[in-house]
Amino acid sequence: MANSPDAIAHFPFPFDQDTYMYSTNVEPADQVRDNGMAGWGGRVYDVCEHYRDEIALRNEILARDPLRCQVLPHMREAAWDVVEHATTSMATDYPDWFSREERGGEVRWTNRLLDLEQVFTPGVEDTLPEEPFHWMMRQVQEDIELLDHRGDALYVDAGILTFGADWSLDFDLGMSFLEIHGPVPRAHELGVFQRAHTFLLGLRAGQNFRRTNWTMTVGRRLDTVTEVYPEWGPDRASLTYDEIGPRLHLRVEVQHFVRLPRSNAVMFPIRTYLISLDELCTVPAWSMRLERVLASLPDDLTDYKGLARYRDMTVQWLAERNATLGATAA
Amino acid sequence: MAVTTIKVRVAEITELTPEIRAFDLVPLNGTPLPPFSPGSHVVVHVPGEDRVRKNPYSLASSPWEQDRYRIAVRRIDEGRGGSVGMHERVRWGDVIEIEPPHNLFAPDRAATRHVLVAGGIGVTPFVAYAHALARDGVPFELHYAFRGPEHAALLDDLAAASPGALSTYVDDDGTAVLAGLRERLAGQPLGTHLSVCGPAPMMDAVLGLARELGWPESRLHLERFALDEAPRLPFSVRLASTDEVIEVPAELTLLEALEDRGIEIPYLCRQGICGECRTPIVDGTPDHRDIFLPAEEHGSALMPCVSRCARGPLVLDL
Amino acid sequence: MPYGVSMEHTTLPKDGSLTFDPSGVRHVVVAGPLGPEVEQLLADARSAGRDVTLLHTGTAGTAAVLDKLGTLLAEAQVGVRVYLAGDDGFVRATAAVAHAAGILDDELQTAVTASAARRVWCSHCRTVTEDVTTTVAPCAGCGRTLEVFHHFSRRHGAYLGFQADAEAPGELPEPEVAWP
Repeated sequence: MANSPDAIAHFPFPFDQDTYMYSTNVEPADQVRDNGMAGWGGRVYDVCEHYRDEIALRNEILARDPLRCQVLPHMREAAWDVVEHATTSMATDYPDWFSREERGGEVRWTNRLLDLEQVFTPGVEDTLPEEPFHWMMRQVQEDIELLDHRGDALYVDAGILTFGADWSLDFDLGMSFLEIHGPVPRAHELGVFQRAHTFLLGLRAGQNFRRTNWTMTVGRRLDTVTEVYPEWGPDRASLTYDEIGPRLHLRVEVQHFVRLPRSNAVMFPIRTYLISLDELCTVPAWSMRLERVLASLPDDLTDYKGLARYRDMTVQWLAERNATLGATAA
Repeated sequence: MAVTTIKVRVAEITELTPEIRAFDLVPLNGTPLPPFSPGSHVVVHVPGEDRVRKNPYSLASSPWEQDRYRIAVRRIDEGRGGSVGMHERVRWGDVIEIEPPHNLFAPDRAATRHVLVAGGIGVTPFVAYAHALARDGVPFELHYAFRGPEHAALLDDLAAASPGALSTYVDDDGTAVLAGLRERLAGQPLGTHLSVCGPAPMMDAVLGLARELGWPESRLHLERFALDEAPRLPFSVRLASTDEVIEVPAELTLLEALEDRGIEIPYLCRQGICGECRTPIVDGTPDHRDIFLPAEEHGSALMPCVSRCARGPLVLDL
Repeated sequence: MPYGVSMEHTTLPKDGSLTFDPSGVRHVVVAGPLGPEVEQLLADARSAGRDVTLLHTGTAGTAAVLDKLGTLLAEAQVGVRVYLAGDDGFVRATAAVAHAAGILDDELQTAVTASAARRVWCSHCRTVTEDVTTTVAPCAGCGRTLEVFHHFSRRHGAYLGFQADAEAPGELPEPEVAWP
């Protein structure tokens, strides 16, 4: 499951400065973002070389723990909105792999990557083999949260979380956007979430936005939700200096914000990308910047992101690697 | 981010009442119109004598119809001219521009039942409500008051969408609808929400009655139109470094006007939220329309993506 | 307070004292058990000439009170106001029942009048452990030692708990009595 050179070139490297602080780093989602290599972004659903592996992993997780995907009853319309949005976008963005034909109120959907064909009637549940949101989520690599817009607040009333970074959908389901982010340090003082919240309330259908978030993960492990913390937590303590290159990964989430037209819900797809530090160091500009970002990261954010146990040795490792790179370049 | 308009053809104009006309808008080339949620409006670019007026109108048709939008416009002679323009200048077969649907009056989806109250032209959003709630199987009742039988617009559309849920009242001053509602609002199951759209005095009276009967604020909803419709006037700014003067016409933002002159300001949201385009000023009083800038910076900076000039000369520290 | 979290925006429940809300037309008071705050509320309602439905654990167990509250609210009409008083665990459990029945924030008042001991939801086995008084405590379901996090779910009526020594088994923070 390592990244190919092409996948590395499209990695959403999230730092455009040598220091990191929370910001409402929201931008229109329709353009490709420069990363100094081949760029990233431009599509809400990113189908990559890991598609089949990640879909298989998601199916395994859902079989083990069905509560990773939940839809409260009043989110029925939003679930159908997701089906329409995902099938339409994927067929447009990847015509070789997906097609969607609509005729007489029926939709014929073909997913060649999974060898799947389905005819269904939008809005009619029993024309699909399972609940519509669940059905669609077995065909995209994104985790998707659905926010119901009631009054002046947004509530996470449906979603899936199989590739999440240390939070629990089952626990957070039903909370408002501001409540969910309650535990994040500093961001409230900076007004980051209040601004993001106001921004989301005014979000219009057809105008998609995106932002990135990041942390680090030991091992190429997508499923780091709180439920399975006993499984991945020990990795943090067991990482040794010699293993940093292959084992430690920069974990980047590309999050999109999409207003769903029929339900007026806000859709929040979260796509997680992992790159090992060995892979990252193939791009010297990235390894140098990451060294400076980690070295200057305030302690509370280091703690919150779960990097405290290995931050210092990672900075040292990057410094050594960067010195070598510099020497080679010179 | 600028809103891209949609060109539509006026396929039909129907006289619903002496004052209200329905306009059926269809796509130009068969491409389906964007889907929408009940309570959505479109901003119509209404042709006028001197300039285009941008007026919001609720979509009064089924959200599952994508080959036609219906809006209903009441002629208000003393208004800003939008409704008069719709009645006098828009003809059958005309092509006009609309902005895509946006919703500021969506039904509360967690509600298990809805009481909808409409007065006059305020009934328009409830046509889409009725279609959506009936389709979702959420029970509702619709109370519709009008001044006289000749003023009852959209009755057929409503009756078709909400069989058995419609009560009508011929009412000049709100007495009849309030009398009918007193009983209905007193016995609604927990989980019911109340939505009102109509003339302000009527909305106040209905909400007052609901409060008297114990309804908490979070179950009360009224139609609000876009607050971002505040008029935009042309103004000019001067750049402190070069003394260059830049005119900002009404239809452009300051950010757009600067960009047109080749002045690059970093931006992200272009909606006054993210703070990216913050620009310092050395003189003048901005008309702040963003939600980013803290009050203590109101005298020293502005967000050119949305903010304009309250009192000039406005001088930018650029 | 760990991590410098802004209390204003956390999910932690905001309790107050109970104040009779005359804008309601029907009033349901749930007490576990009766105490001076509830007596005062009942007196205020009486002097306003309003009827109050009272459920309390003096005559029935907590489970029976939760049950009764659910049945009562299933048939309730708009205009009802719900007041909850008792220890933290009782208030959170009854509030979860009220929310599930469709009660909204402005129809509900809560007051913790007895023990602050928490209900803690284990994120690993999803069991709720009652009466947790310490920052680190065993899960009644899977037996893992849980750290109680400052994050609260109204749907579960419980605080978030996760394995305290997941990263390094046995490396446990010192438990502190935080919610006696």
